[in-house]
Amino acid sequence: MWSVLQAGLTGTLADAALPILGGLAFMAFLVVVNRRALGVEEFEEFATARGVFGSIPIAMSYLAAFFVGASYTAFFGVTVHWGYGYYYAVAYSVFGIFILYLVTRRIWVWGDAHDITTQADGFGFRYDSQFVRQLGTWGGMAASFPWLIMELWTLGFLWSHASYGKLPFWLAMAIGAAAIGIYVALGGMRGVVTSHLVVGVSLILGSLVFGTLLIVYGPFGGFGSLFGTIESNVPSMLTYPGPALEGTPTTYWTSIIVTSMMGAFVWPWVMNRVYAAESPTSAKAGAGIVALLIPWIGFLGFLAVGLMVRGMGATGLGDYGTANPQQGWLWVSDFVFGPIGVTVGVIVALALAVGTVSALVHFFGTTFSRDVVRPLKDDLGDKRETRIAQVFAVFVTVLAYILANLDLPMLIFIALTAYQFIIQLFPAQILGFIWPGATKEGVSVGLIGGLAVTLYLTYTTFPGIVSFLGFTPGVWGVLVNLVLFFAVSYVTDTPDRNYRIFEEVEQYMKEEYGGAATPTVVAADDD
Amino acid sequence: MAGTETTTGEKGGTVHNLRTSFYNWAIGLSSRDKIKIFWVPIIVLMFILVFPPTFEAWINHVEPRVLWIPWSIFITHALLVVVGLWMFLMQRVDNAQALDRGEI
Repeated sequence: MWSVLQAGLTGTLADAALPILGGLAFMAFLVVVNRRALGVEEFEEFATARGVFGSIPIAMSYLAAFFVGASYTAFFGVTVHWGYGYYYAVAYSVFGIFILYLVTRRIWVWGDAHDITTQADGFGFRYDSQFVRQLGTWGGMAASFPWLIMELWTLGFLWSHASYGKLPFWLAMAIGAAAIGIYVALGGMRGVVTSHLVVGVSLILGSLVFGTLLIVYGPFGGFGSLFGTIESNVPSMLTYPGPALEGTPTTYWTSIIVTSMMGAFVWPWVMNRVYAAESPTSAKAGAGIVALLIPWIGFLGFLAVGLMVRGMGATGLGDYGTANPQQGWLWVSDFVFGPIGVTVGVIVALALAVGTVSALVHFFGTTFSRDVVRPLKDDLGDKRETRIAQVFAVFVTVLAYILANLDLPMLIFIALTAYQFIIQLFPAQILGFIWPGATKEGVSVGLIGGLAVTLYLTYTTFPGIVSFLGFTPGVWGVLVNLVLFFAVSYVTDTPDRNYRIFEEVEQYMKEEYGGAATPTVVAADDD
Repeated sequence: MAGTETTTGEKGGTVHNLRTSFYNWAIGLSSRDKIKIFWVPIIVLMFILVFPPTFEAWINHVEPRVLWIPWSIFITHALLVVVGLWMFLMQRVDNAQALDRGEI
């Protein structure tokens, strides 16, 4: 079906029926596959699903939590305008999962051995410090909340466009928020990871298969002619640093990759997937799978399609996508395949929004109950802890929904700036989990110093993001953070406990898995 | 599980032999070997990609720029694929060594 709509998505109510039904069917499918997970009563089950998932579901969950719904709206706009420059996102994503890989084993073992269920809970254990735990808790929630609002906007945007504008934005957003809030509250981590399995598969099929089909059946008829057209018309899209970054110092490119790779998988709602894995090996294997997939998802699902939208604008085939790049994905899906294309495009993007919102809502519920309420009330029973997490998950969804209906013009800047702050957790989350010498004093002083520098530089440059020598505020913050982290850790005594808990990981592996076996010639198999 | 055979990995088959060879190679690697084989290449690749002046001068000017995909994108993409592949292989080596130690 070739439906050429020069003025964007302008279908009739009949055209809208298919995408709306497709989107609703997808949401219904998530509920059906999650039906066994509903009705969680115990906190560990709610928070980590008792670590039952193998490497494939964990890989899909990493993808679903990491690739935000805005990937096919705001970030798609980046591919249309930045061209080659979009590859910074692919690079930082691969490096980010590599960084998480380095500490996965300890995160998982300490989690399993000490009933740790959240990132901040893990900080509290590693550094034996309520202060560090609370810094992690409140810092994580503050940096994550703008993303929850943004993702609700994305849900509303997608539903609204799925209906060719026939569904009001507020109602579209309410449908998505209500569905996710309820199933996360009822299904906990098991529901989230189960739905992420569907979301991850949707992303892979949507980007690799549907993305390729768009290029092959699109107006340029294939990759060679697409790139030839771009080279003739907008050649800067194909070379470093891409048109939108032209004129920025090289250090800016370095900054956006470094800050994003430090922050990418340090977000509390992304790294806590590790706790849902059945073993540290499953969590690491999941990371390996993600590292293999990301470059192809980035190339076929984003960059190539974004270039096609730009090429269509440059050759007079239709400039709606170039003028409205955030709608480019749905517009080009419609352009090439009509309402069927919009249906597929909506489901792929909707799946990502569902994946991120569910991970965020689940994180807020678990961390509020475990890291805020429980330290205040030691005798909190398991059932009450679960109930508090469920109620807070719903509360935070409603709160985000209310705020999402307000006019918040600076929110996207705030959400992007949040990356500059979340990376301040990098020394605590990554280096402290590798190096026993890291002390709570080192982490605390480093975090406070890093946050203060980032806050000051952000305040003085906002809404700009380029600071001294082309580096972003977060890079300067993390440099100060690292210096303080190492300096203070060196001058303070390392508690014996630090060495014991690192040794405990090795001991735990031996005891838990029955000690050394000595197979000499045997086929290695999956986990 | 160790020693499990599948239809694609029957004893004596090519896949089985390859897996066995890989496994035996992996469990024989020392920490120093792993650093040389995996860590150094990954870090070098990351460095190249994070500091593009180290390669942008030639990726932007190699002709022809457009074959199936442009050289600049092709080279960057290939480097990232190699990082991903290397990391995946590193995981398989870790996995084989954990299996050998009886941790799985």
